[in-house]
Amino acid sequence: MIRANLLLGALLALFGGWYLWLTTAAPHRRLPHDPGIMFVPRILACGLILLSVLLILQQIVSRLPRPKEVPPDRLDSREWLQTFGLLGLTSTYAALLPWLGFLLVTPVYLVAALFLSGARRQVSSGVTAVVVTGVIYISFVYFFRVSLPPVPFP
Amino acid sequence: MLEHLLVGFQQALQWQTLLAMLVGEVVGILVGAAPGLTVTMAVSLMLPATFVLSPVAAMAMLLGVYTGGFMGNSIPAILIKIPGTPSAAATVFDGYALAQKGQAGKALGVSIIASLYGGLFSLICLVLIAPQLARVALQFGSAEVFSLLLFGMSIICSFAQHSLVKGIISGVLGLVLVTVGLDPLLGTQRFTFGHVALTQGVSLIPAMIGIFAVPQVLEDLVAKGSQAAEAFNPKLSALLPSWREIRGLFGTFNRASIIGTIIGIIPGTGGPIATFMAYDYERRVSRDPQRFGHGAIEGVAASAGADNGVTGGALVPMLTLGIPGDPVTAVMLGALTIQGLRPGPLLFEQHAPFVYGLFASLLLANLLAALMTLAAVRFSVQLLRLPKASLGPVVLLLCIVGAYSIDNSYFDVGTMLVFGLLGFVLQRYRFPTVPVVLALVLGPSLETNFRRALVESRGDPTVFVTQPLSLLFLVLAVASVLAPLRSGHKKAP
Repeated sequence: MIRANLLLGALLALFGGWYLWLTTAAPHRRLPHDPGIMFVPRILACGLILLSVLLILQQIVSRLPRPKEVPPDRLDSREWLQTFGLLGLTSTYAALLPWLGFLLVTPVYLVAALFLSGARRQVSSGVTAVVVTGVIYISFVYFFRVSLPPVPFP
Repeated sequence: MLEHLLVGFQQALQWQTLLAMLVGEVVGILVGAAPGLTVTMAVSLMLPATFVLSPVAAMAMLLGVYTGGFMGNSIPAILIKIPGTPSAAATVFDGYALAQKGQAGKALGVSIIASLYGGLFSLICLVLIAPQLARVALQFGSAEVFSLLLFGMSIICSFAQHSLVKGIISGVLGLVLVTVGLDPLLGTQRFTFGHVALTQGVSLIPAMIGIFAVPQVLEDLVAKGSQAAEAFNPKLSALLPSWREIRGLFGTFNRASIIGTIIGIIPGTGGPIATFMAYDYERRVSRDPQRFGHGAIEGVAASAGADNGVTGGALVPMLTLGIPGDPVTAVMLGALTIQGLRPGPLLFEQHAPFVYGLFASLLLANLLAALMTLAAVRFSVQLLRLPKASLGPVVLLLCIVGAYSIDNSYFDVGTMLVFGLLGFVLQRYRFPTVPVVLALVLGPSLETNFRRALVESRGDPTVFVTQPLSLLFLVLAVASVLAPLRSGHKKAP
């Protein structure tokens, strides 16, 4: 956990520095007595850098109080594949939605996501995918009047 | 007043008014329970339907949506960790934890009762002391609202479960993210890198859906051990907590309702702020604050009570001053104007039958919303019978559809996924995610009111300490930050 905290502290400090640098490009337009559009971001950037340094110091200076933290469970290769596979699959699904439409791509996504989540009964997954797609489509499009991405071809 | 109230009930009990209210309730509960759809959106959609109705029936319909939405939003928050609307975010903390312990029915039952209590409490305040409350609302200038919000932000310290430094870093990260977009005072682009999509800034609902639901689905996926579906008793009696349990929660109901009503009357605040404040206050006064975040029923009662307490509170400035307390009452203000009524001090004198008809409608709307949500709960809890392997992908799909449906925007879907990943990383490395959400909710108003107060006071920074109310909130904020340091870190969600 110490190593992870050190790494995260360094990354956050770098991010804070980059954010502070971005605040230097402030437009000159401002209201009378207004501290300007970059005033609050500058305070936040300085605060973030300061806190990141404090996080780093907590790890390396033994005299500073260091909270007891339970390190996260280590993911084995199967769990890595499941977690990031599902995230990747969901991102791909979101990217394909405008091109293929909700009704076409959603059942395929659901079957794949159910498989990744450990559901092994193919017929049951297929039925769940079609039913869930239908229920969500009907509820949102016909009841809430929210248009979902249409199938781009007749 | 009694005479006026009788006339009000006569109007509210007409079949057209009741039917309009019923339609409003159904829409409100469904919209509240559907991730991504907001009560404001539902009220706006129902607005054209009110043109053909009488003023009382029109308001009954909108109040039905309003109260139904505030009660329905707890359902997905408790069952699948997706807040139906932003103001249900605080219900997630203990509601979901209770659901995981097999007490989803109890959590939902208490949330409905607390919500009803909050709604009725604020209604009584509205009927009896609306003009006095309106004067309180007028005391809140930009400096006072800034200090109140800063006090709200100090809640972060309570949520820093493992490390105060990490908790504050999470809050600052959230505040950094809300600086992206258009500057709140001048409308100048800030940190948009020339991308048009970034000018709208971080959308609150997709961010909240992502940060709460996505990490939970991913964690459930790799959770060790079997996760049995809840043994749920669909009988109504099993949903309702016992009289002894309710009696034990009366203090919570009262505190939450008072906070909700007061926050509701302050223009520019609203449900999310009220629920976070009520939740934090309840944790502070609790004899056992460690339970909060791990399934404390008081946490659910506090957030739900404050949430609906806002409804009556927000109507106070709208009816007495013509100032909407939140976006929903802004739409209602439009509806009143369309009906030929002008809200303000004279409304009570010139249109007393209408005003009391509205009060009676609000009372009936709250009762109807509670009954209908209880009925809806009996079906929605069946969701928990699904195995986690099936529920996870369906929840992810709902997250995407919910994020997309706000603005029909793929950018919002991307925002939801980015915040989901951010939440997952933060959660794994023991950074609390609640401060990020709190910053997203309060951040924009915090900066706007800070700068507006300075502009109004001609650049005088002492405005924050010379105004008594502002000073009070600043002192409370400082005390709130120092309290966990003194007590050696209370555990919190």
